[in-house]
Amino acid sequence: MSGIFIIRICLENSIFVLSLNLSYMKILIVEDEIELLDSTRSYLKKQDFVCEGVETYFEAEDKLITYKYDIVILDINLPDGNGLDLLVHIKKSNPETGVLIVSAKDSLDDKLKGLDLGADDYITKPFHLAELNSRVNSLIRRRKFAGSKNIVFQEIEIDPDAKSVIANKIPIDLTKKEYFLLLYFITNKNRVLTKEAIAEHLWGDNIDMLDNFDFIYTHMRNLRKKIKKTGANDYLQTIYGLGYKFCES
Amino acid sequence: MKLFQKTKRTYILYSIIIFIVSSIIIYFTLKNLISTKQDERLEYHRELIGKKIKYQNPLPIFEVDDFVSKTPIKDTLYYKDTLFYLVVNGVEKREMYRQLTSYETLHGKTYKIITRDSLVKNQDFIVIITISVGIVILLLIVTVYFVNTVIMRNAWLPFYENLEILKRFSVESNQPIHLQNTNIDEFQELNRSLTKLTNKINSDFNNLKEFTENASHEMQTPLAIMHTKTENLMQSENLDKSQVKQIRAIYLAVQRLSKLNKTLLLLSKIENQQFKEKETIIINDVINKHLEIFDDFIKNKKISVSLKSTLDVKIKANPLLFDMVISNLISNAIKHNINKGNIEILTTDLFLSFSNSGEPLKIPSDTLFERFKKDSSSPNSFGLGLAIVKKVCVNYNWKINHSYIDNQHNITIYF
Repeated sequence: MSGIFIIRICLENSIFVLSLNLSYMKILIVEDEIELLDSTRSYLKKQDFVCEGVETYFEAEDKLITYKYDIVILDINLPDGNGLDLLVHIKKSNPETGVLIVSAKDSLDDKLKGLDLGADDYITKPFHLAELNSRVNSLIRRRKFAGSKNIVFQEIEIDPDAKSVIANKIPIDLTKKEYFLLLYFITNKNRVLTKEAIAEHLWGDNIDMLDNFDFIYTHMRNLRKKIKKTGANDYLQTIYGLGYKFCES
Repeated sequence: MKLFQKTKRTYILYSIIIFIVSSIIIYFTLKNLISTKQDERLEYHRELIGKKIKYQNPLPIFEVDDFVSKTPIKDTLYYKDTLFYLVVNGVEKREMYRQLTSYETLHGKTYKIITRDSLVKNQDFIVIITISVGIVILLLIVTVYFVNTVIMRNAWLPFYENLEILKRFSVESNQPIHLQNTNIDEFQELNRSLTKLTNKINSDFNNLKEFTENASHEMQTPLAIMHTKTENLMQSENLDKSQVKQIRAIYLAVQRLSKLNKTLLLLSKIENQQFKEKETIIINDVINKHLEIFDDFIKNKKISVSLKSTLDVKIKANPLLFDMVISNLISNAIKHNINKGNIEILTTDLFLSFSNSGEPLKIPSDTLFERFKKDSSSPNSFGLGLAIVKKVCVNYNWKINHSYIDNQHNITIYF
């Protein structure tokens, strides 16, 4: 079901347009598990975000009073308080801030409550870091840059509004899956993405019941071919044994 | 056989035996008694006649020439039952008589003295007494029988009511049972034990459920750490082949564990009835949505899909749960399909049916919906998909069954 959710989010994204200049984006991660906090922080930092992490409700409150963040990634279960209370606080003091709730409980109540209180998205542990990154990006697009620029990656340009792609100034006709695949790759550029993460992003949770992912290669191959045809570089690398990487170099 | 019937039958059987045996005993005792008395009377009369002959010889009333022989023969006497012809009102009658024949030597002559008495009146007498006693016994048996039945029925009534309550007991509803009170010690004790037992079952079940849910929740965070750490590890440059292999293995194992955990949580949530909201759902919309999601998988196996339905069938259910049912049924139909196979979906107001071509099941059909029962040896399958479908069906009181005819698997849900 979360798969459908993901796709829906993606569709919603297309209403808003993204500027890729994300280097100013400030993100606060509230997560009581230090290890998880570290991984998340290091992943997002590599995606050119300014990241800060706190482990407790108290610290988070402190930070939120002092600074302004674009995005807060919020774990609901904190040792010294409920993340939902923090959410209320954020929405009161700074409604501009986008909030992404992270919870170990995949409970519908929590989800609805969170979304009711003004959270923008909800993700359940455990998650793919690339997926979290995708959600953060889509959140930024929705929050900040409604109706502005296209996503640009070297000679590839994506217009999320029209869901159209131009490479080397030549329009490429992509299928829906190829389009979302490309968007996912560019959002998580320079990162190794496993085919499991890709499949989950594109088809949702349910597909793990099926064990044949051959058609991912098909989509990938077609996407590659179509980009190459325009004379643009092939940025897609196959990383032996692990997955794929969309690389600038 | 019901205990009621069993006791009744035994009772009736023994009553009949007792009735027959006692009647026979009464009949023969009476007969014996009366015969003895009659024989005594015959003997008495014989003696009387003998004395009359002896002292008032000849007899005053009639001449006695009924002596057998002048030479004395040995005195004997014997009894026998004999038929005697009588003429009553011009009608010849045969009647049974008891007869005492004796030879007596008196005054040098041997007399044959016969005394006899009608057996008929005895017979009548015995029969009447036997019948009346029989009737009394019969009445007694019948009365006891009915009294017993009434007592039994009253005594067992709470038992049967409690049995019904127990039959309705479901551990999943999490309701304590309230048993009917009774004034019979054994049943009271039974009730007490049952109440204790069901309370224990309920609390154990709740503990288990809580444990599963808590354990699954607690596992999510460590899993998330493993997941993200592995993903970070993958980002490192200069990994050699063996490292890549090991990282990949860890990653897949973590993936699997996460999926399993999520699915188990989902199952326990359905069990805990955490999906209460209901909406009117257009079944075909849901099916089409999922067919689109699975489009790649369908095309990959070159499966042809047909969806037939009567108008726009609607149903009231939780949209998330119904999504899961359809998603699992479609993924199931794809997974267990053959290349270039087919899937036929039929929806009506009464049922929803999924048919797909495929190999016959290797496991019994009735275990198909159980957790962790899977037909394939596929490592990515837990055998939980159909368990989820079944759980949702149980939740909504829908019936689900599987059949396999002409190389076609069919799973039908009756609403």
